[in-house]
Amino acid sequence: MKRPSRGRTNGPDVALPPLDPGFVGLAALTDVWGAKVLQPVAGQEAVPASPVTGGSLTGQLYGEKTTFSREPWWGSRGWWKVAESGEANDIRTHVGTVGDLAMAATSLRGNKHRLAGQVNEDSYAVSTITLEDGCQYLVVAVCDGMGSAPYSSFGARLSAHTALALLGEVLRAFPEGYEEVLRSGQTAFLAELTRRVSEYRMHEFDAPPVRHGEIALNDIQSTLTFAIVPSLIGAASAGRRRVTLGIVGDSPAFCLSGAAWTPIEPAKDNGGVWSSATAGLLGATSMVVTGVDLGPGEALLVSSDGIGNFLTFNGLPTALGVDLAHRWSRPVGMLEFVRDVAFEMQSADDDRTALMVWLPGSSS
Amino acid sequence: MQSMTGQELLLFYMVCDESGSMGPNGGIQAINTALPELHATLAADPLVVDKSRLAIIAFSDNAEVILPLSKVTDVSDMPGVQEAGVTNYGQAFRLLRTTIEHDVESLKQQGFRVYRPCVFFMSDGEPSDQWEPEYQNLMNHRYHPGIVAFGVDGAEPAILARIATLKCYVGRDTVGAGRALASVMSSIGNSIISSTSNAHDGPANIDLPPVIDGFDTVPLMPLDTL
Repeated sequence: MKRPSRGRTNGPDVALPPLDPGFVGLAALTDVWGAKVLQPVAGQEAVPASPVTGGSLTGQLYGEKTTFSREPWWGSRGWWKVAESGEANDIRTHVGTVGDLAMAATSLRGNKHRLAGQVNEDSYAVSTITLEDGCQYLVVAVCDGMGSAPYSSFGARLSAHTALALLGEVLRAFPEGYEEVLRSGQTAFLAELTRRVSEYRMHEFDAPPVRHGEIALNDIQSTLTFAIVPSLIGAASAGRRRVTLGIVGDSPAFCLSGAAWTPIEPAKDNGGVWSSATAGLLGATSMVVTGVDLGPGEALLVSSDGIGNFLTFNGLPTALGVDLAHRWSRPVGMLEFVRDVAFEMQSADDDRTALMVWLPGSSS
Repeated sequence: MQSMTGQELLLFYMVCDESGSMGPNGGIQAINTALPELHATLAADPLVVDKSRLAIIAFSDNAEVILPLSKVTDVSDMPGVQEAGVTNYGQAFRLLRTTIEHDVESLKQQGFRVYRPCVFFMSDGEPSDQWEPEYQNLMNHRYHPGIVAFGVDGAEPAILARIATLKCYVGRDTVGAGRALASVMSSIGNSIISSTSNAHDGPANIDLPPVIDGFDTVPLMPLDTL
């Protein structure tokens, strides 16, 4: 007897053309980092580039186009839904300078949360700390809410902001030895952070409708990666500086130097197959506290795994990693940064948060 | 050379018993009816399309890959199973091991980041062979899969509970094989969709229903592996 029909397969999809680059009618100037910056040519209006697909802000394509890009976000299939709370955080972004540092941050809701009508579960926070002696610091944090936690979006937001407040207190109390204090006192730091986060006010702006004493920590659980970056002035600005990082969970950080990404924590080995298992911040008793020395022209990326996981693979840069290493070797415009993070790649459907800190170049 | 993307992939392998008993009890017809429906369901989900691959292995005297690991939208015609012979689990486990090894290695070389594969194992009877050595070879492999076992129409719960590593469901005697397998196929579809959406959230990466209508869950009794 003949077997019923064998499975048949079609050919792969056809890739979209690359993104229409930048702006037209612009002339290049040079900024403090030695980068080419674009200004409108006299008599010409700067015209923003058109989005590639779907009327949404979609960036460069890597590999085959995604199924999501086959129809606009307003399409009838409901692949991009408004979240029930209305606070989906489809895009959030900040850019600016702190002394001699430049910073760009953005967080984008991922396709899987758009599809499910759920909110962006990533969050980030940025603050500047100025000590009495005038020393200034940029302090940043990225938190990735755990998808299994029903209020992880709120937890990630609150954890990021609370972490910065607590780090500010540490910096002010121990301006000379904060990294060592964080290392030796990490258990107390994490316990205090957990205590403050878990004392949220019920119903206050998107807070869980559950009394804080009755909620399980895992219901508001997230990762945390923070960085303390000193801003320097005068001649010191051309030297190297110590950046302190703390990491709980799998939100990766990288140094960017010479157009190459170096992960600050090595990738996990899971016997040859990939795993998403990660540790949570709240209730943790230990974290990775580490420091890196960054020099002129180098940069730091703190990210969620929605983007950080796709920069390197088996220790080598991916196509996305190569592109972003070149594009982000110097500061970029805010919308350009957002569009870079909005790259299109199959399976990269999680929320994406990227926070870059650039040191001034040696030529400045 | 094409640049690597580091895309993530979940791999699902359906392993279907097509031994002689599966014809009279309606199992073959149920599977062949359900497979196109499963395909349509999976192909309509953009996350499944972009982030998973599906393969189907049928076994009786021998085992055969009737659908090579594929993106669901690349499949234009789902295969079917046909009744034949006895129930040689060992053949299925041996083919699973070589197929998974080949698939994972190939995908990794293409720059994919591959989660631990998941096997949905369906059978209606007791094995006819000494299957344990091939099972141990499979489970001692570095790419060993997580296994969900489904038993219908007289399948031996104690054996399936030794094979499953994630969950074991055994149909109640009152439920015919055809109806039971229709429920199984529906559950597999839901599991693939849910797991693909939640792939970032846990170590097992597989979402399974706590209960399936007409089935009992059986506590796992893992076979010792080396």
